[in-house]
Amino acid sequence: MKRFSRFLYAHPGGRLGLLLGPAVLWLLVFYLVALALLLLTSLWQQDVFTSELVHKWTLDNYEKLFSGQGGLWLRIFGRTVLLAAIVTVIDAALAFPLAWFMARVASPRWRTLLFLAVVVPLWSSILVRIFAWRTILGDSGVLNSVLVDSGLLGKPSSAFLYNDNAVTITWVYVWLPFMVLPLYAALEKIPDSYLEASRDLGAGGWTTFRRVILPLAFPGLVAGATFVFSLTMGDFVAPQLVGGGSQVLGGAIKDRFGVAADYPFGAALAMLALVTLVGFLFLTRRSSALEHA
Amino acid sequence: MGASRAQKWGFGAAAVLVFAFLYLPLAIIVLYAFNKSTINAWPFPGFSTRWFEKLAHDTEAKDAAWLSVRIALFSTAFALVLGTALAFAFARFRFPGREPVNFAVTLPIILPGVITGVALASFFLFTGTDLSMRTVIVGHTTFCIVLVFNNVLARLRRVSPSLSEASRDLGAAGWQTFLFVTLPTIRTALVAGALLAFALSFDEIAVTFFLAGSDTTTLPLWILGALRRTRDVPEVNAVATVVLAISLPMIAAAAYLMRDEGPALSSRD
Amino acid sequence: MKQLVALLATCVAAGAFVACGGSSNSSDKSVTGPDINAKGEGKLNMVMWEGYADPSFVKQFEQQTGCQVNAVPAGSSDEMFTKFRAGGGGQYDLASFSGDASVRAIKSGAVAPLDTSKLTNFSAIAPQLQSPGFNTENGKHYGLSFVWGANVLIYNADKIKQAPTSWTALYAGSPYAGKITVPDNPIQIADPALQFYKQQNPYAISQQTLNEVTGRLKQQRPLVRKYWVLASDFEQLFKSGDAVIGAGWPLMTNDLRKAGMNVKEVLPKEGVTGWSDSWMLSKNAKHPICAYKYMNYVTSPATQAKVADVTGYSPANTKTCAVVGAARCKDLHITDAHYYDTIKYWQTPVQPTNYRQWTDAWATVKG
Repeated sequence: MKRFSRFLYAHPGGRLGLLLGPAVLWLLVFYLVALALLLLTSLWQQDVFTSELVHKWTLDNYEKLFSGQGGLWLRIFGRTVLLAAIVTVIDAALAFPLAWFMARVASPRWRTLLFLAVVVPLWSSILVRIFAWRTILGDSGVLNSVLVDSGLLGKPSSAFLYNDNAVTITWVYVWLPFMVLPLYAALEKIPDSYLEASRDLGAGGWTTFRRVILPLAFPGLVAGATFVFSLTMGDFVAPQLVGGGSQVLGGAIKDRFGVAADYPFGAALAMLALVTLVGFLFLTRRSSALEHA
Repeated sequence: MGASRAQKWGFGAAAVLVFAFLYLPLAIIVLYAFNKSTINAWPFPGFSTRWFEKLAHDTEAKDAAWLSVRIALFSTAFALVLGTALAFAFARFRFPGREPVNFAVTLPIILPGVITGVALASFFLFTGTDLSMRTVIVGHTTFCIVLVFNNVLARLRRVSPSLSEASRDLGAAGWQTFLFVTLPTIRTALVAGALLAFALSFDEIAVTFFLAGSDTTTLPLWILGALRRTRDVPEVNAVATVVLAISLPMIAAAAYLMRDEGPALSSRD
Repeated sequence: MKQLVALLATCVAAGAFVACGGSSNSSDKSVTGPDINAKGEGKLNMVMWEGYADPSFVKQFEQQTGCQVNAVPAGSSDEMFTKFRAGGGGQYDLASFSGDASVRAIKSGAVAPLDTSKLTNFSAIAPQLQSPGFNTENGKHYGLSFVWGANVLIYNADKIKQAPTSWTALYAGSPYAGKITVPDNPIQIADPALQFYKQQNPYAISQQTLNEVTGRLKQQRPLVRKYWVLASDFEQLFKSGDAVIGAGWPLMTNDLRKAGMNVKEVLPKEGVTGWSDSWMLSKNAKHPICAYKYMNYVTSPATQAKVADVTGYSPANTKTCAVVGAARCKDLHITDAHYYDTIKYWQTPVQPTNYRQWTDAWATVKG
């Protein structure tokens, strides 16, 4: 043991190898190779009848993805991206006042408590939290009852559940903590002196916000947006539990590996999601927010 | 501070509203865990604790919870080892390929679980590996590594290596230095990373969905199945309530452990 | 034997399992099942339709045989098929394939032929169900018929006073628009094909008919409150009042009635599709003795009666009539071969349009 220890001390390369090796090897085998295999699968075919993968090369899956069925799959992709963007914007709008309050208005004693209060919902099953929205949004649910009782609606509306609205609301809800936390971390770091200086120089509240706070909070916003966008692009649970018929990318991928088996096409859809998100990552690379996530 | 009282109250009110939004479904879940009937209708049908009684005798649910705990423990353990080692490599050494490795380790948590899930499912299909608890652990570990890595690396960057050098100069063996000098300084980072990894693994559904075998029913998968059986839906609310109740003290303990974690929770000059 | 091993080795290397499936079947001359009187392996994994492993009859089986049952439900035949074949194919011992998945299972070599001498209730199975085309091939039985039933029109009799008689109640022009639910399953395409496009074999339809049916289903989409994936989706929609009419299984009528709702089911005049389910044994089953024991248990008259109680489906074992009594026997059409023939059972579409085309068409409908 002592000899091994001395060997390591004398050979930094060996130490590096031992530290770096396992993790890199793990990621290589269980992630990168798996992704590569997914790519290969998207270029293969599957026997319709027996569901066997046939290792014959083809671009059919990508052709179907980009031009098949009257552009259905691009529409589904587009719908998912649009919903993801909407959810990100709403979450940012909701998260900001809360994060600001936590970071700058609340006293330090309360700060820890508030931080935990944001985290606590994440500790109850995400499935059950999504399912709870059925009770809230349904025909005989909380929202409809409140609206009808208060006279705002004549009779319960079916517009809140089993459609894209319900999915959007649910997504806004489940991903909110992921936007609050990085935003809080970023806002927290802004020195008081900057804000005082800005005020001293005569800037009003809005100007200070626009030119001092927002740029400094931007890395936090980006980190939050990355998480929310990515989570939305891949989710299949909310659409299944509270959604209507219209499909989203995550659900389409999941279906192709289960109820509507077509592994190669599912892999192609997954590749599309992957490329989109990696592209999004590179675009936001400038901001070093991710290193502090 | 400079902010007017009105502004402060304004932000306070906004914060309250957002918190209300955040906690409304939780209130519904806890409330309906005591639902007398099996129908989640509003107004509330009436109180009953029968679902908790049912849960106490439900071996399937308890087995599922225990399986989730075991998978989370294993995944966290592996992630701790791999992530910490990786963090040390990044903190103490210069080597080519830092950026790509950093990117690769972050990718599993940035990309949605469905991609990791189907990629690994294809991998296991190709290698003819049966889906089981092991395949789920592999999946979970893969996205947990970065959680430990980020936390430990951030901490290591603030800790000077001179401490461990001094330790070695004084004659301590490598493992002694690690155990008695280095480890204590990164303890809270390890705890933070481990807690995050455990939490994410315990409640994970997307990756698990594709990697679970016929008898790998984790708690989230059990919940998904229970939502299929109408009779069991209220019991699901009871499960969620129990999990929440158990995790509250754990979160409190975590907060206590991390109270000296200066930069993470409060730092301003 | 050596040739078989060599062939399998080559197959593994080439990855072309399709070829392997065919050749290994032909070497069996007769089928020998395990010793069903021996002690079970202690465990049984199955993937099945909801209700087929209900605690009301599974608990007794577990106590009697010591085989702990792990039953995983599937929402569609495709899902059942995919789960069954995941990994190395040994995940599940039994599957309750409907006619649209059973043939695929046989053709892909995923299931083992059954030894009918070890199936104690085989001779009591209704004649038309003993060797049907969907689970028997070349005289070899790959499945044991279990239960069958129709996809029926279910409605909330408290909200709909006049019993509907036509499937048009679910399509454009329906007075119940916005309160309808139909299955989220591509095989649903067969329903309008049969009911509105007069396709005598609704599983072998031309591309043109498929297009027309897709158009009809697209028109239906705005009227659908939610496409149900899980039985509980359907039931919850009815219970919460979100839906008052829909296409479902007798299981839902049963469950809703037990929950105190006044629901009724009808078989509309245009005809119905249905399913006929068989138990099939995996080629790589890890617990074959328990599997045979379960198959025998669940096709015995007493248990078939319990299955009928839970699901409302029609048992395959004709001796069940003695257990349930003449009235219920008539209700369930257990011995009514003529009635059995009026249902168009699920089959895998192959030609002129295949199942993938159906799946794609269904994706177009949902949008």
